[in-house]
Amino acid sequence: MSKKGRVKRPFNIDEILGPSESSRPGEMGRALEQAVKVAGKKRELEPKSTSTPPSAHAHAVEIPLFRLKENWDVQPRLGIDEAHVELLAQRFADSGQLTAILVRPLDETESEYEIIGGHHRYRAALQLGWKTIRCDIRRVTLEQAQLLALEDNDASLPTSDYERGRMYSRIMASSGISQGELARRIGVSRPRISQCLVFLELPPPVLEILNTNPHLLTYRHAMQLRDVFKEYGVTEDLTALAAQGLERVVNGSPAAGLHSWIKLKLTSQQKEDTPKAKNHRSVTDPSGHTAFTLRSRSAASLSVSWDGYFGVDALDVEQAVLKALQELVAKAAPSSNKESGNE
Amino acid sequence: MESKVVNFPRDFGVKARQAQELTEFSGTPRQFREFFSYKEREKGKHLTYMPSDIRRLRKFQLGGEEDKAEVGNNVPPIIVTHTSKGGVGKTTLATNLAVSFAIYGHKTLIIDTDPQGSASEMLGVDTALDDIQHIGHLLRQHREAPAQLDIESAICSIYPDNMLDLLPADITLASSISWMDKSSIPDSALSAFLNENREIFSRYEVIVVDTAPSTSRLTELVLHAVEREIITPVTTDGQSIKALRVLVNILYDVNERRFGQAIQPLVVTNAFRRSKESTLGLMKLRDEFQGYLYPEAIPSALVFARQFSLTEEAPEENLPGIERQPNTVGAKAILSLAKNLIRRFELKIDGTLNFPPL
Repeated sequence: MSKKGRVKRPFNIDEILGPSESSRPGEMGRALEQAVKVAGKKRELEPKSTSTPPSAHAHAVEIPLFRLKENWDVQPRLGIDEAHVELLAQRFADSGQLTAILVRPLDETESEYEIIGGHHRYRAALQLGWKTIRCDIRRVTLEQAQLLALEDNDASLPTSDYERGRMYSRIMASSGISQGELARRIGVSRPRISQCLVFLELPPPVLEILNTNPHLLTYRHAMQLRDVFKEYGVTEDLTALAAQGLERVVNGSPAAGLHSWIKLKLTSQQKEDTPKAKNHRSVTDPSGHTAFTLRSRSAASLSVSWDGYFGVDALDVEQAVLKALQELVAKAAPSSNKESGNE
Repeated sequence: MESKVVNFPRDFGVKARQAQELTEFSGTPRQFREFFSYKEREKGKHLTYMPSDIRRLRKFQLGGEEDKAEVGNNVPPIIVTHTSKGGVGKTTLATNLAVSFAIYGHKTLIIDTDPQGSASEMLGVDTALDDIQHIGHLLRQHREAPAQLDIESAICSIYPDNMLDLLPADITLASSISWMDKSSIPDSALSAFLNENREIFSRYEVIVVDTAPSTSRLTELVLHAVEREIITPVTTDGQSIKALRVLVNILYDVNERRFGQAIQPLVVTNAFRRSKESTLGLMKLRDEFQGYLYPEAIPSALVFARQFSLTEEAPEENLPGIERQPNTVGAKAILSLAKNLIRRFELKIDGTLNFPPL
């Protein structure tokens, strides 16, 4: 090495000590290699089979409200229950926040968080004008967040079977896991999952009604409704009828009677469709009671029965009888022609 | 908002010969002088070349235009000096490296994260008198009230033209650190802070961070903000080498929680003497940390001893060693380290690599 070079690099360690003899780093160096190799181990998302839940390294932190975001893809719930928010706000004002809400960081910088569980508590804090809220940060994927949200939400305001069913199918579609695997991971029985999934077999107009009233039906009623659709086929009429029935349930009629009500409606509609039913004719009094019923049981008979109400105009009765007789004759004529033609 | 100016104008510059070395100028001295024809020599004094002059020449050599309109919008590389032991030269390395980067032509920001504020003091800030907005204040404002955040007025300008700026610290940083512990600030708070205020931090080409020897939450945040390498000064005595064990433990913890790349130390031997003990210590270091040891040792040199004025009342007399005596052996060892780091961290001048990696 030239003199100039030595001035530039006056303290080259290998020049001072001579070439190194040992080829392996010492104990501390090996520890350092381990420390470098360990990178991201804790950050790595939980492998599917581990027994440690994602909560293993969670800690509650005060996070400013403006750093929190709501995401309805994570949420099984379909809306905010304003009354529940009111209730929570009162409770917060009295005794403060008891449980931390569940959030997950949206990116590596953790400048924003997504709420997994605690939308109502978040709204309550907003209502009270709080600056921060205590959060439990979970570093999880969207899929895991959905599972956590299911778990967390049941604690305060239970989610409906319909909401659960929707979430289950969404999780299974996005992660491609089977019902059995999902059941194992969220700790419910397999039948429970298929029960909740029954809802998704219902036609869209019915689901639309459920979207606004997720607690309307339990899985049992949904199953009965599904069976009706299976039996009669998904037609426009039937869907409309089901929607009508659901409206009844919304207005307070018991959900248990829904499927029988629909069936009843269906059979009575079918009755009206038959020619027999068409020959039914009635004369009503001004208040709507049936006074007389005209029935033609065969092509050549007409029976008139009185149902026990007075106050019917005699002319009306006469006209009704006349009309029924004319119809009977008109019907009999072509059929007799046919018969004669055959002869 | 204007940045505060400390000891301005500070006319630190190097003489022609050294300026030529720093810029790897290949022409004749006459050509060199002609490039700086606008500079006039004061009577009885050498003509000196300031960091901004060197940047100008370097930009010309690298073929960049005078003023590139489009500046990179990224947070520059962060160079951190950290060890778990005090007195091994963290602050000395940090400040002298920052001055070196500036004199190599890079716009440099140095962030002091040590409540002792020695880096701030060494650069001439009177931590007892000046009203200091430190990184702890800024991080808290950033997390809790971003509307009030005013970084510009917290920055002290050391050399003109943003060639060396300082985010100082004082003793109140200690209480900010305890706030950090209490509020459980996330690991990525510092990198988020730098990232979200890119329009300020992207005007620098390198950020040097001086840390405290203690393992505070702030130090952890700094370590999480580093891309992959930290500078770990170590002296060759037994205690200092033992302290590396603590550092390894800290790195294990930090790496375990990091996204992406692990951070590793670049162990830099500091205050090396040609004595038997020092040589034995160096041997131990080389055997222990193969692959992590910087191949040159910084000598124990008087320049570094003279950095702090001995009279407490005169912080303006403090000067980093390189600034005081840029031509000494100690200063040259630091400059050589700085040049190596410029290659290692791929520091750029206006978007062009200053010295390409070897």
